[in-house]
Amino acid sequence: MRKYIRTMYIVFRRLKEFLVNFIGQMMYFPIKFAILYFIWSYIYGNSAVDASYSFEEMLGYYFILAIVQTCIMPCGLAAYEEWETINSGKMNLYLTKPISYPIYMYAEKMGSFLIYMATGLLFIYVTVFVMQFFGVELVVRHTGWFCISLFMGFTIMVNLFTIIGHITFWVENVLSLRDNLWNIIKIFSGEIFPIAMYPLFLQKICGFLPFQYIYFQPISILQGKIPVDKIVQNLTVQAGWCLLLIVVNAIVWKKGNVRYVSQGG
Amino acid sequence: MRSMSGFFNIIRRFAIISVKKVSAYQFELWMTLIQLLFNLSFTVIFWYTLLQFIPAFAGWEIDELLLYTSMLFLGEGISGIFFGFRDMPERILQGELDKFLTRPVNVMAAMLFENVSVLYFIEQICVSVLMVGVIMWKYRITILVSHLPIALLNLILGVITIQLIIGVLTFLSFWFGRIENLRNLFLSVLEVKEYPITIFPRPIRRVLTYTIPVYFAAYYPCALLIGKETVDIGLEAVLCLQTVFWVWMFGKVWKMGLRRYEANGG
Repeated sequence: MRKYIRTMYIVFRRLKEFLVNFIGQMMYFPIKFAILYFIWSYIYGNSAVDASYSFEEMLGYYFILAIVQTCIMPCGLAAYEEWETINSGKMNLYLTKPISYPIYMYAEKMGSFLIYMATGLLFIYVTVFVMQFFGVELVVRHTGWFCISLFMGFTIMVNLFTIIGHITFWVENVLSLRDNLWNIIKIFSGEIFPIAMYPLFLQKICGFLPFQYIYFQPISILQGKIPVDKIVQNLTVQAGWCLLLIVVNAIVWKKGNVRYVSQGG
Repeated sequence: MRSMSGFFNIIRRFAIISVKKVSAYQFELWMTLIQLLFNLSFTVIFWYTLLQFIPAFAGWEIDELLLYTSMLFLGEGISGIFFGFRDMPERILQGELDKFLTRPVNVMAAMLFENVSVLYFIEQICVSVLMVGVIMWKYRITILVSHLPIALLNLILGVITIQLIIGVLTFLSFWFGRIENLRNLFLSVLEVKEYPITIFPRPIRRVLTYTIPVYFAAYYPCALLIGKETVDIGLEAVLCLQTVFWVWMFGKVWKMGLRRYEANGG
């Protein structure tokens, strides 16, 4: 266990790099947010919108989404990194070390996730409570639930991309498959719209899949859209998905890494 | 004349290599097609969901918005020609231009087309044209055929001019090295073209028409086709002037950049 904590610690040492990256991401935020503001103010200003989200809630949703994405998205690199590691023969380095590659990858991504989560949370609260950002309201007492849900969302995401990375053992090129996973996540995680606003059939499909637990559930918790008793229930389901994906990840890794061939170098 | 034939020859060669590369991995080939359909589905889902709550968006109903999406998609397919800009700053920094500068090839064409996935963009253009046909048939939309040539011309010129601006921003890496943040900032502005431009306040609309020709890259051509706008000679002149200016600027900055380029070899 110590070696994985050490891996995470090494990532923490690169704090400055991650902070600069976070600021870089936030640079585009005003433009993206301005576009969203104009669209939604036009929609809510020109028609009687019969939806479960008010204008402020909608802005709040996209605002938190932008921050949460900054925290979670970098772990999508796991697939590309594994693809490159396998195809360049560098997997030898990991297979000869006394570590498990999937756990190593998880620990590494967790390091950056924790830095981004702390920075993001600070950014959200400063913007919303100090700057009174467009009247956006959050439920502060749900912060703990939000962090737990976000962490499990991260676990789901990193496992999905690691599994895609493992598929390189069979098909050699998984980059478009990875892009399609991004696309599936975009539709079913609540990136386009809050899932509660989707047509009923899409909501039903989302209910059977793990993707809504990546963005939609954590954001809804922080926005107070889910009652406390339902939060616990949802977190249990989310934990179930995490467990399932960890098991699938381990199985695919076990079956796949025996196919790995390298000529050394 | 000879340099032009060289230009097209290198494009042809890279296109063949690109097709061979993609077809070598059958799995990858299918994945790119699925990816394309996903890209289209995002906007369709967005409009479909939104129009559950409101009857029309800025006077555009679902059928018109789907047609708008298809036009936008067609424009993106055309802009695939300039896909090579994506990695250009990195390649300039790494000194990879040497590879082309020492050969009797058109450097710009080689840089743009070496890594482009021709098949993907051809697929995108075909799918969007098909989408236009299907939407017209399904929703019985009649387009103004007399406006078709001018609408397509506007779309092509609008898309190309925007790409030329992106190109000029990309070439700044000859002077400033990493310019990706600046370019991404500009790309995030371009996200406005996903929505009918009439929803934005007048000052922004002016910027998106007279400074950056976003107006011509989807909204105006589609509005012309379905009769929401009429042909405006003044606007056409604005687009032509912008195109001429950015073509000139593009060539100028590229030449100046090439003069500035140096590498240690490797």
